[in-house]
Amino acid sequence: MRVLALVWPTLRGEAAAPDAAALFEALLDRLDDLSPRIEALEVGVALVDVTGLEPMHGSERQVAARAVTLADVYPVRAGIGDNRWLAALAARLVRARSGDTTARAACLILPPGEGRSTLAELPIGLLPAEPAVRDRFSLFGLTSMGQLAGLPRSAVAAQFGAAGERLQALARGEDPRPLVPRRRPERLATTVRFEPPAEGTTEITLALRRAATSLTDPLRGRHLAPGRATLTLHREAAPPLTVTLALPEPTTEPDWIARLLLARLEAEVRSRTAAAADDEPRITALGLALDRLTNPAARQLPAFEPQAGRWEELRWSLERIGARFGTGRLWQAVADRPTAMLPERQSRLVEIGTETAGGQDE
Amino acid sequence: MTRLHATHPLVQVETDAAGAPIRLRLDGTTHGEVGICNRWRVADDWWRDPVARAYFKLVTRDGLLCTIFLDENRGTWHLERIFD
Repeated sequence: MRVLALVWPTLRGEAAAPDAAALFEALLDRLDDLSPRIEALEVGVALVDVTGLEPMHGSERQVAARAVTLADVYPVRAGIGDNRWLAALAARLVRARSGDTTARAACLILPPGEGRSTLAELPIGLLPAEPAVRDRFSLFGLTSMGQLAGLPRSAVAAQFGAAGERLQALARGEDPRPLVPRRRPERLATTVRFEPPAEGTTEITLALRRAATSLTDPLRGRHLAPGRATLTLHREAAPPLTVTLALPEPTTEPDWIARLLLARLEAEVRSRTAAAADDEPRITALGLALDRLTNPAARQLPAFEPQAGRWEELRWSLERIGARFGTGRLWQAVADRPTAMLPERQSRLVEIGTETAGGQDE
Repeated sequence: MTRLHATHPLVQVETDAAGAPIRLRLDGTTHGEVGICNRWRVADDWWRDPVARAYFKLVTRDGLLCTIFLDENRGTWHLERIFD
């Protein structure tokens, strides 16, 4: 196996942008064109299985160059090796080896079968060892990976245990851990065009329900349910209007998805018309997209935090009730002073979704 | 299950010589043969807005179970709670 490791330093660590995870996902999507087996190790680090890509893309250096070109939005370091450890190490070493610290992209390729000889001279501190193990290595006078690799395996196991054995295998350039390809986030989308453009909400509602049904029916057969829905209204002589709804619980009920989206849409339109005070443009097309697909049956509530799951269920129910009966009709009893002498002072009603108190006042 | 009437609507109450309710009129209906299940007094907030109430938990012949109180500061009767 040949593995390409890609590291984007600007997307890693605390100095990374707040949307680094989303940017990283976009980069991985681009890399899908290169190889079907990509593992996202962490935000800013990806492993790509490049075995057998030569006939299509040329030499390994060309494959690496292609990957860097696809993902050359941010500075990137690339390394190729026989396994994930060697590839990641190569990407780590590339900066020191190239000597050019200002280059946006750099690549180091460890030739096949030469992992052990390449590592022999490298300091043992590059191994992912616990500080205590590292200290013991220095107590034994082990300073390079070659020294550790040359010891009998049984002796290393006796002194350092299973962790030591694993580190010795790494020092020998061996890493049996396979690549775990990521599953590309699936997104289902459909568009309904209106000829002539729609004006009333009835037509939009019907079209939205039909669109939701057409998308959720095949999902139900695959035991998948969307966790997020996005509705886009394309308007005449106006920019598109988009509302996104993160469902508190994956659902395949098209009716609820449509109702919740319409409720969000109405709130959005109300706020916009209140600000602009102009006529709503006609709708030329409606787009519905569902993503964050998960298996609804596999959802597991936390074992020791029953309240978390119950509140999630409650929020979901409240959202549906609110969408059906309108806002301002749901109240929550808050027990402020349960030991108060007068009953009307023990609790009060608060409208759900607002901070203001209503109903019973003290 | 009970319904708390936090606004304390006024009720018309007929009392005996000792001041205990014997008949009450609620929502246009007169409920007689009142039996007193319990009674207690609440005195609170004497340092700012004094509250003095004489509570009665009543059951009527037609099955109404409720809590009413006499606001001793104003001399008015109020409904507080109806039990299902």
